Amino acid sequence: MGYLDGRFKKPNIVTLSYDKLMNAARSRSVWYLTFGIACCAIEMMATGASHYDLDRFGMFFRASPRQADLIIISGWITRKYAPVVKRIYEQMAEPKYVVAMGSCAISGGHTYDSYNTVQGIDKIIPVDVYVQGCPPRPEALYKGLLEMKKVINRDTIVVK
Amino acid sequence: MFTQEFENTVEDLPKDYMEVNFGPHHPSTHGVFRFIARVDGERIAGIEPVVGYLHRGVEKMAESRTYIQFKPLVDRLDYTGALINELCYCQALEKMAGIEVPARAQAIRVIAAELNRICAHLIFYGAMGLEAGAFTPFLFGFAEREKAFQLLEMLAGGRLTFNYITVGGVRKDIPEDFMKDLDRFISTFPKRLKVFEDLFTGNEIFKSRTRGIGVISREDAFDWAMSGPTLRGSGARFDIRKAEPYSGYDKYDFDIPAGENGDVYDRYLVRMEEMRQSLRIVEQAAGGLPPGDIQVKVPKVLKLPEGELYYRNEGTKGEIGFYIISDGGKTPYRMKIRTPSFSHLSALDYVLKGAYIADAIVILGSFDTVMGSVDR
Amino acid sequence: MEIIDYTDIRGDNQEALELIKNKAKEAGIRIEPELVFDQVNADADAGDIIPLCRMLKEDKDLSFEYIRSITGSDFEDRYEIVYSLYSFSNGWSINIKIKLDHEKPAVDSIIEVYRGADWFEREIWEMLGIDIKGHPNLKTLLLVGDEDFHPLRKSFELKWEERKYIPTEKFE
Repeated sequence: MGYLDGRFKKPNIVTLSYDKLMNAARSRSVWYLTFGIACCAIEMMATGASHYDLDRFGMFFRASPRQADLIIISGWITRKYAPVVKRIYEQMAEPKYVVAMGSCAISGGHTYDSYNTVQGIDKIIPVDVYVQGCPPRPEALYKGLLEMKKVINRDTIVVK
Repeated sequence: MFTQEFENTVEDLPKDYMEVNFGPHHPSTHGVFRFIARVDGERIAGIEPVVGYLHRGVEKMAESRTYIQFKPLVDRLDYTGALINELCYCQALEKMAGIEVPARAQAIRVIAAELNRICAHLIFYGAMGLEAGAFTPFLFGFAEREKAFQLLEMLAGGRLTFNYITVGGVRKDIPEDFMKDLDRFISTFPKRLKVFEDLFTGNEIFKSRTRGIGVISREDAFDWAMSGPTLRGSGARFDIRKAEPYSGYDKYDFDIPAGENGDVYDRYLVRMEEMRQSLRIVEQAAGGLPPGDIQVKVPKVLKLPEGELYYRNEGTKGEIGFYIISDGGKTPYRMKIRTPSFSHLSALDYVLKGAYIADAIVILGSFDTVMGSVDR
Repeated sequence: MEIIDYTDIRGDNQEALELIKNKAKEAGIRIEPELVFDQVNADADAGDIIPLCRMLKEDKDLSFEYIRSITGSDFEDRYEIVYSLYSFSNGWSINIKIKLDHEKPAVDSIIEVYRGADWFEREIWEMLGIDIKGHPNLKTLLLVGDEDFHPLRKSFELKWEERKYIPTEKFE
């Protein structure tokens, strides 16, 4: 409907690459995990609430790692909490993506000389998109989450 | 129907304890907190809380930063009400250094702090709905909070970690269209609060989930060092804004709500009433803003005289205190931060004995803890 | 329970100072209070802390029901602990300071007098290494537990260096 309406005179077959179809479907429905740690979690909740709405992009929060595609790391990671993050990341099902939100998750932030924190989450798990701010505005988080579409569109089923 | 008497009651049966882990990642909005509960069926026999998942050593970091460089870190302690933390810290420094703040700056500080208190209590309202199993209060609360937040953004220039109150005053004066928008907020907010109360407060399911749950008596609340709305729900009408007034609070006229039963429902009602009283204070402060300066001249590198001071304020969750030991140099010798959520969580084992598992979540929600200030 | 109104109570710390001096002399406890920044700061002996806190809490005229915080700090030749108490009925506040030895610091726990002192003392134990005698549950609270230093001591210096992530296997 829409693009294909009124163009053909008899029924026919549409050919499309599998990658394009699956990526188009996946990028329009990314469910993220409720993983708020610190101050950036309040901005993530405000982005998902009614004024800045993430539900219109198809993004909704799920509580269990097995049901989520995206994990948004929002806050500083300490040495006590890092094994928990790694375990939850490993429990998520493929394909999975990671967004590092805020300067504490990117490179340590205001806790740069602390004895108990990990300077950046990319020392533990691979990150796809970095969103800068302290805390980032909801509009900045939008831009980061919509960049995920470009990341998802690069996925392919071809074995390299 | 059953006319026979049973020989054994439930208490006589042999108990078989099981350990259930409420892990650090859980779908509640309070942050990273873990507790291991020993349960007998559905009743909790005792818990062991595990904290420290957010410990970064703020008190140690304070010893290598100057007083003004440390101020942005104070924002991030209780991040739901950041301006109130800053107010306490700046006033502690001003008291030790003997700096007088002009009257206009004091009034603007009061407006900003009370608007921030309304925002923090709206987060509590949303989270309480999620704990009890309802989703609509979350959306209503955050939608209303955006309006107050946009007012604060007009004042301070940023969101959530404002960095607006400085030693000696505030950073910028109020902009031109601030008063018009503030008047509109003051006139529409009470009607929205009434809608929230009609939706949730009289709800039968909510009342039966929260009445009579998690009762704390007044002597226990004093003994476990509780403060703020948690203490007021247990029958002690006490507020630091009235007992040791600061920043011109003795000029304004407001009431302190208190509860009689000490259960979860009373603590919820206390916070809803506090939002109305905060709006009253904002209305009075904005009605009579005195003209004048907004900042006194303060040296670029602040040096405090030698001495020690404990200074405290009424935060959104309770009493925030700073104990500063200074040796006359540029950096503090020891900065101890006393936060309300730390003491409230230490009492959780005592309050949860004998409660059901489902009630444990509601009781934890009524304490309204912020893990950034427990672990610091 | 009925609601008790504490909003009109204004405490005068000068009269608190006189009253505490007299009562401590009667009980035979050494205390030297003085008024600094409108609060009572008092010096006491480390061995007297439990009888002093009990007197302050249970006496009908004093009634300091609430412990605000316990602060520990490391000076080069001694450790100091400050107990901050507050009285709701009278509106008085007091900071009691005790000094401890630098080699083997140890103090009694006041958990039988104030139950809220529980986590404050655990934090002092793990951050400064001061031994709290008589505490029922002295375990790690905020740190991981496998460090070999006490962070708030002055002998541990905090500096920035390019750090790798050191994984922990200790708990769980």
